Amino acid sequence: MTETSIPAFFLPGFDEADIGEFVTLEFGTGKDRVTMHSPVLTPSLLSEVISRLNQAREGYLSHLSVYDVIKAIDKVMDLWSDGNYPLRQQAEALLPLITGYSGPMVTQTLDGIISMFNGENLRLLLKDELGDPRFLDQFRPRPNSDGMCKAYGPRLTTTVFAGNVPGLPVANIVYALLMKSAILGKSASEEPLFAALFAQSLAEVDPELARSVAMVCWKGGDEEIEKIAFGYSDAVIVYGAEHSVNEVRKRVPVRTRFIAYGHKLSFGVIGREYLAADRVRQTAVQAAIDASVFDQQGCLSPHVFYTEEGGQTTPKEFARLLASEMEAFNQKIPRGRISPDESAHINQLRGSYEFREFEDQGVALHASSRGTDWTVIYESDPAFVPSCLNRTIRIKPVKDVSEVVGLIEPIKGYLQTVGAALPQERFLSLANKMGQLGADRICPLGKMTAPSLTWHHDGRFNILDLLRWTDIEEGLNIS
Amino acid sequence: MPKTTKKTNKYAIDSDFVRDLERDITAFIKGGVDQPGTDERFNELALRLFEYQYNENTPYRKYCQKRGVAPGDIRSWTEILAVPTDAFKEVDLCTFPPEQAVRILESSGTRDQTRRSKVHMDEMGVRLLDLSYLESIEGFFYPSGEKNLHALLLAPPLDKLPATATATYGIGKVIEGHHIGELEYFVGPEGLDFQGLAARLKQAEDDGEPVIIVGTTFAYVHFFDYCREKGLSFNLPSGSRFVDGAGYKGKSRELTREEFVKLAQEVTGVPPEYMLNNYGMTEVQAVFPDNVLRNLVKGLKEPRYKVNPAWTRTLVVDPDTLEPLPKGETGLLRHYSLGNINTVQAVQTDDLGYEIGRGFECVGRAAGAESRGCSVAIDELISAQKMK
Repeated sequence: MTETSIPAFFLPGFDEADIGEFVTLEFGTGKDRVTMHSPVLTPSLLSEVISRLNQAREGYLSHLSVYDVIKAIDKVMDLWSDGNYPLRQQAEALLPLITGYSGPMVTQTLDGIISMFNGENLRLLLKDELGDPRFLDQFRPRPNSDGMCKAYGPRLTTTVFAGNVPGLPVANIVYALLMKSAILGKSASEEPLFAALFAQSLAEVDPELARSVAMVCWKGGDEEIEKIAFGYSDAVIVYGAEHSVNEVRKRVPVRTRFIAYGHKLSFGVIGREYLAADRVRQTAVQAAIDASVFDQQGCLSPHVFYTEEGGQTTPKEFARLLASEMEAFNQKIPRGRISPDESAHINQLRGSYEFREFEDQGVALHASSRGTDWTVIYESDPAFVPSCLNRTIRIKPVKDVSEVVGLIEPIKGYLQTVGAALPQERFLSLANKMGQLGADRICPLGKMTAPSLTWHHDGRFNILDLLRWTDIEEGLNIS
Repeated sequence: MPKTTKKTNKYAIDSDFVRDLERDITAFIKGGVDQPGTDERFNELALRLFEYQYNENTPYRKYCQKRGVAPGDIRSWTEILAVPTDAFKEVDLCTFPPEQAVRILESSGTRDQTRRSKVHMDEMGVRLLDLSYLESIEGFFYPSGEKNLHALLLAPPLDKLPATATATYGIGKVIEGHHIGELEYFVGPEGLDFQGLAARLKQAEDDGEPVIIVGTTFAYVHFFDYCREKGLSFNLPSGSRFVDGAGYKGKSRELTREEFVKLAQEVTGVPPEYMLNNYGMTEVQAVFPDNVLRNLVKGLKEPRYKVNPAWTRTLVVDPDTLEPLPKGETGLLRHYSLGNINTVQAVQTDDLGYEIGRGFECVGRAAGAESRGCSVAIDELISAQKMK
């Protein structure tokens, strides 16, 4: 192990002798190269990891009150909110090299996480889902019926992370600890750093608590490893593409709670009121934020903005305004490094639209002057088209926003967030139709990539879904 | 000659400009694939061709005008604007009314059957296409002028394939004039006829008459895997050769060229120099075969790569900025061919490759790969929509 290699794992209490062999992971090239290392996860090592996780949970975590856990997490967020905190500095230095996201994008992402998972928000989340958070600590009277009950989280939760948005693992680590569940995380091979750093800072705040967290890597589909990991877990959570989710599902025992976050599609609707001369620029600014944050890699990121005709700005003009706001956003928070494949894809797409534009009034292409930083396509054909992402967004006109319902029907199984710039009375009727089609979040334009902590992620509770309840019925003498 | 009093178009098909241009390009291509010291001549012809295409190809002119590039402003072929291959799927990039085409070539639409690149050719275009193919095919597949090969095709009978498919045209051209006897096909309605092909190779081994096999790369891999599984191997007569193209397209396991050559040699006994990969595409009226057999005959020691015949050039550009990269770096391939008289001579591909020697090597296809985002991959969505 060289001095410059960075751990891509978190195994508290394990020393190198416990672990044995390591694999090297490399990110970036040349002087921007980052070398990381991670244990070769053998079945015996994994069994030992799980056994220690369970001990830590039994011996410590399960005795904490939910408020103790919240306090610890709040302290971690405090540490991270300091720009001089060494682990934050490490994240800000390395995440751009590992993920390709620009430095400013990483900084904004970290700030978003810190403000999202503070103690106050966590209390709100628990209250929102459980009513009384203390159900996680003790038998409590049921609010609307007789008797008492207590909630039990999984003893061990295994989570398979995705690498598209750094910081995603924080949510699952936090939720698990709130439920007094130990968590075994399978780090995303694209970004194994942040989860490990977060766990390290948890260890600084409360070393005993951090012993209930382990972050490791294994090759997805390793049957022997997954049989152990999934077999010892009460819950398995997976992020990923449909085919990889399906692969995991096959290996999870039937009685284990299985939750999958698969691929989703999001889009925006912009009403004519928001295209009025005095507010259209702000609308364009908000749309540019939604299409640019996380370089459009999030499942919350829009693919298309359906834009209403009949306002003071035509959808085609709006595309031009959006283009200049995409440029302005890119000046502030540059698009990150993308793969040659992704660049080639965008360049080919631009080529085909540019030639179509020569012959078709219904097409207009706006593109960053150098490279593929951002692309705005106006296209009169309203059919939903998934974007090739990395800040490539289509503006499609509709006579009335109600038409959008029919247009997104083909993707109803994949719907997630709808960003709306509409007066309330108009979006309420649309909201119900979107909900019926499966959308699980309707939010103001400009906030698409910044959901509230209490958002029903993919339409489900974040914590409640994983809990098991024990009831004590009226009539027992509990004194 | 035009009979009207209307001002004659300097670039009309029967104009001196175009006649001279075709004559000069034809003579240049006939000079053969190797023409050292002709950079200036290539440059001069490329600039004349650009002037013609700028004036007669309306969408291309608009593309150039938008970027402020016009004939007379540029001095080097490297400044000629390249058109992305996907644009060929959207518009007729053509110097004459496309309905007057005498030949149309279409891509296979690997990624999306409903979107194929289309190239329209007039008589002049067909003459240059045929000549450009012929010179490369003679130079690289038959450097000793062999005409005694039995042609075995890992393809359905050519008359059953779409006549406009570039592959149909290409396979026909590769064997034209070099085979004896009937063409023998080994793909039927049930797919590749492994047993039939194996029996035919055994026969070649016995009768000692060399064969040329032409097929897609993935078809070979399926056959070689079949032979390995059955424990079959052959010792094909000297002079036998393989031509493969089109790559894998996800239809078989993917091998590196070294692995492919090693496996092919183990199964058939054919030396690596007789295994010839061909690189080409609908949008570029030229083919780029491996240099290995030509080098063997000429006694040249070089690694395997695709040579640019004298009437073509290939630039490697940064995938994001499309600016040329230093020699040896991997980027996107951009081809220039004087054979592309009816369309545009500069074509920006989404193939990844690098410059080497007097040509390039292609290492794979870029676009079409899944985006790293958590949104539904395009293909996944298309298949999902089809299910509904």
